Order: sequence, then C-alpha cells, then structure tokens
Amino acid sequence: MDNRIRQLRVEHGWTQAALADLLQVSRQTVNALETGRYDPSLPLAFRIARLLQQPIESIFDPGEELDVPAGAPAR
Amino acid sequence: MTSDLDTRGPSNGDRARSRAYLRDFAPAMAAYTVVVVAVGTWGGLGGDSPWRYAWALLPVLPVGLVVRAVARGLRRSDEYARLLQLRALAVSFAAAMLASVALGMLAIAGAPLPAELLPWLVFGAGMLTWIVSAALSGRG
Repeated sequence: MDNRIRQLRVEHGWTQAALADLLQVSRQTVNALETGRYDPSLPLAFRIARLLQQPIESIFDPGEELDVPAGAPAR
Repeated sequence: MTSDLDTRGPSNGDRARSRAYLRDFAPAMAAYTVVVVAVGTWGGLGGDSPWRYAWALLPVLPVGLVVRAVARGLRRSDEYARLLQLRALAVSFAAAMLASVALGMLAIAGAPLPAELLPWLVFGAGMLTWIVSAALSGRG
C-alpha cells in the first residue's frame, strides 16, 4: 500500500526517530511504513492519521487492493 | 531524495527498550554462565551420585530467566517488531524440527552420531537460524 507518511513527516520537520517516539513505535517500524514494506494495523493507522492531522484515506492509498471484484453485490 | 530528517539513528524509545532488554538479559546470561561453570566444577555429572540429575537440570533455571527476558522484550516491542520476531521464530522452529527429524532418523539408521550431542545439534540449528533470520529481517 502506498502512503504519504514520509512526505507528511518531513513537512512537520520530524526525523524518523522523532515520529517513532510520537507514535510509540521503533524507528525501524517508521522506516518500514514509509518504504511500504509494512502496512500498519488499523489502530496504528488511526494514531498516524491523528498525529499527522490528516484523514486516513489521504495518507494511505490502497491502489488496486481496494478494487471490488466484478459481480460483488451492491448495497 | 534524502534530507537531514532521514537520519537512521535509534529513537529515544528504541534506546529505552534496548536498555530495558539488556537489564533483563545480561543478568540472566551471567547467571547461566555462573551456573554452568558451577555444574561443571561441582556437579559431578560423570559420577554416580543421584544428585547429578539435579545438578544437570540446574542450568534450566537461568535459561528460564533468558526466556523471560525475551518475552518481556517482545511485550515492549511494537507490532512490526513482533511480526519480524514471529517470522524469525517460525524459521528457527522449522530448522529445529528439520534437524530433529534428520538427526533422529540418521540415529535410527545407525549413523555414527554421538548420542549426547544430538540435542545440542538441534539446539544449535534452532538458535543459529533464529539469530540469523532475526538479524536479516531487522535490517532497515
């Protein structure tokens, strides 16, 4: 999943280590999130969104993962 | 594109977690070393005293402290670190099981394997693959 964490972190003037402390995760985890090697759990995604003051959907882009299969029932 | 904000040093939380882990792990390993030396010196494992079995099991106690240190370290770590540890433990468990089955079958087939070394070979396979896979997955 693509995300804008690095861009938003730099806009706030935070290092990876500073963001890690604010999120109470390791610096390695922040790096894995930014490079797309790890998709966060829902609680961590909400913490990131709250800290970066952005809606979740403006930070994370699921791309084709969100595509609904053809023939899925409409609500 | 990189900037000063892309430095790769540990965070304050990383340092605190490392210190806390070391506070748990170092005394446990020190206790293990002392107990193993004591068992080797006074345990008389090669003798015929019934107490030698108790002496032989004594190192299990500090190993329990090492397990406790690792478990507490896992509880302090975040979700990504736990995922990496889970992968490393899965790899090492598979390696230990493969080594166990391979050595066990070889022993049954009469291969000239020293029986007292077999458990340590399984231990070594599991421990080595755990350390290597944890180190490899921890890069970045």
